Amino acid sequence: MAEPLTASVTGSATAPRRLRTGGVVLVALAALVALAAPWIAPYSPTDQLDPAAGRYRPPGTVLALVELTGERYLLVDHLERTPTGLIASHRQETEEIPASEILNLTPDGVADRRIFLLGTDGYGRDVVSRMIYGARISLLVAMLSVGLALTVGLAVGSAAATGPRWLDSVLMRGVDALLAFPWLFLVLTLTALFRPSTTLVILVLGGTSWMGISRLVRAEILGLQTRQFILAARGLGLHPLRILWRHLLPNALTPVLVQATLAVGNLILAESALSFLGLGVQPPTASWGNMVADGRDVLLTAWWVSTFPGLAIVAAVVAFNLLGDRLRDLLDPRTQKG
Amino acid sequence: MLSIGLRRLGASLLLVYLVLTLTFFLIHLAPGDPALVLVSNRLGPQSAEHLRQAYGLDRPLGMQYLTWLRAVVLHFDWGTSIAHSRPVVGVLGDALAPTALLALAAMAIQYGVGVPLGVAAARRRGRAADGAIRLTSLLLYSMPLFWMGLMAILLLSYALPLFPAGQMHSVDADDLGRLRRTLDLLHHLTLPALVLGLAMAGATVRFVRNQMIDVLGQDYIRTARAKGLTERRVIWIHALRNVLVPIVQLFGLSLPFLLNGSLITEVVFSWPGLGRTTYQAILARDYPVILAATAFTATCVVAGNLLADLLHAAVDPRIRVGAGGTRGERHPERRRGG
Repeated sequence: MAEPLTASVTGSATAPRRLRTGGVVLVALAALVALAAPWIAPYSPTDQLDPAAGRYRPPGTVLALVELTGERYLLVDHLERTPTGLIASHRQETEEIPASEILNLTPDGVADRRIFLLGTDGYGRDVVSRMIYGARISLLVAMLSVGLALTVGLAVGSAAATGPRWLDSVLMRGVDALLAFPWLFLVLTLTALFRPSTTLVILVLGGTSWMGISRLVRAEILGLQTRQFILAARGLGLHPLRILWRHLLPNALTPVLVQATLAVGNLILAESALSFLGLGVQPPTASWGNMVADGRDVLLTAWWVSTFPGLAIVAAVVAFNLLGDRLRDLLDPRTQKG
Repeated sequence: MLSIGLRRLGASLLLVYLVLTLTFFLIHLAPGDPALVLVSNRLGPQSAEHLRQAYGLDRPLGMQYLTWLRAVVLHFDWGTSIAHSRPVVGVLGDALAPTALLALAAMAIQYGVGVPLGVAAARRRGRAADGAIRLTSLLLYSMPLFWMGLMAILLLSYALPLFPAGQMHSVDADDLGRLRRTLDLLHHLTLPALVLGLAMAGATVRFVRNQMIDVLGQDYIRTARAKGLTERRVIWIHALRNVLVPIVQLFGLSLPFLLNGSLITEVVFSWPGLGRTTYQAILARDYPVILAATAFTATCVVAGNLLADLLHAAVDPRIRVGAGGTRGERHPERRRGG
């Protein structure tokens, strides 16, 4: 293990120490936003109240919401209260609405309004609300795929390290073969061949990112095999599976956890790329990636549609990378380079 | 050394073959076929049967596989693209040069920016400049590439109209003289190459910094300083030379990332390269193109790995093929060794 490259890849602290603590806070914040989405999102992520009047409104737009009979809604820039009803104008149009059709009429206008803090998209949906619900999807997909990758990686890695020699060769050559696939090409092919769905994304991402973890687990276990406490356990005649489960895996887990945390960041990026390419999370479900794609064709006229979800991705990925570095510092003092 | 090379070459060819066979069965066993995609777009159901016969899709899968393999191995005939109605070799051949151009330009930026910044950060370890460089690199590798591309378009071709937002040539490029045509091409190349290059530079900075810090702690550096060499000479001659080997290895091993990145960059910037062609082939279920593109990319990845291995073996006599099975230990993506 004293190869020069190995020794140096180990220590790779990314950012100054204070920042790394910030990662913990950011991850906690992102998790909180994702969990509490229905309570903190100002509006529904999918409602299209009045697409014609509400589409592509810039950040900070405030519109009055007129609720009409028959579950129809109007988003209105200017209102004028008349004795018989309202004169409502939005964009270039002005129309007169009789009071009998309006459900939320008050003496000086209507009772409701909509504040679009970060603007609206092409269907008049609130970008903030979609981003908050998007956090849910993006984090959920990343977490579940990491869980899948960890499970497969631990299983394959321990099988290779503790099983017979031929099994080790077969498994590790298989890992080599999978790593030789240019990852994105493989994932794109897989997602394109089946009907795209969130479940498929999780399966594909998890199923294609366990190889690094399995190599790590194998290397860790091989390193532990010759340690005295393992020899002692073997000398006591413990069952190999018991040794694996109670003695080898717990001791191999620390670096695996660090790697898994860093993998969450990569998986958020992967999911967003897939969704951006139209093969990941499918509309109308909001994910940060497909929100960026929504704004791609209107970059010039409605820059906010793509810009803000992208910033959310950057923040989340930075957070998980910082958290991973922090975890490594805490769990493995040997690698401090800070 | 030669026998090691030959053995590795054999193993690599086998790997490419395995990847291809896997892809072949994967795409043929998945539901839906190219005839359906074509037919649903333009023709009727009888035409689908006809198309299946024409492309041999109605025959047993094993037969299709053998026919395909025979044509590929004996005649290097990758078949006819179903979507383009012309030989696959031609379709991909046309896309190769644009991708090579983009990849080379991006790599020039990646190393041109990454190596000096990494060295600078290592020299100023723990100081403000180090922190700033590490923060920048963290941001660069935490950014989704497609979003970075869109933001570059937004800022540098819409807000400040400095560069074209996509394509490889201007509309009137055919009328231009040779020099003007080349300049036009470079003008179009700048933005995509910059985005891809900077995105990859993020990880390179981090890698070079950590390598450099390791090397600077070595005895021979102390000796070099003790000899009274100038600091510049110590850093750029004695230290950098020792960092160069891992950097060349990094180049070999980071080819998959380059290929993934160029796919996304090409899609965002409508760059007519291999990645975009593959992406379109995947959407259209153009089997022959998908297979050939997978073959090409897998060959690149395997060749990159082979290069990295051989370089390592050539430089470090301790490394013998098969000894201890430490292949995974040298992967630059691994953040921690055993």
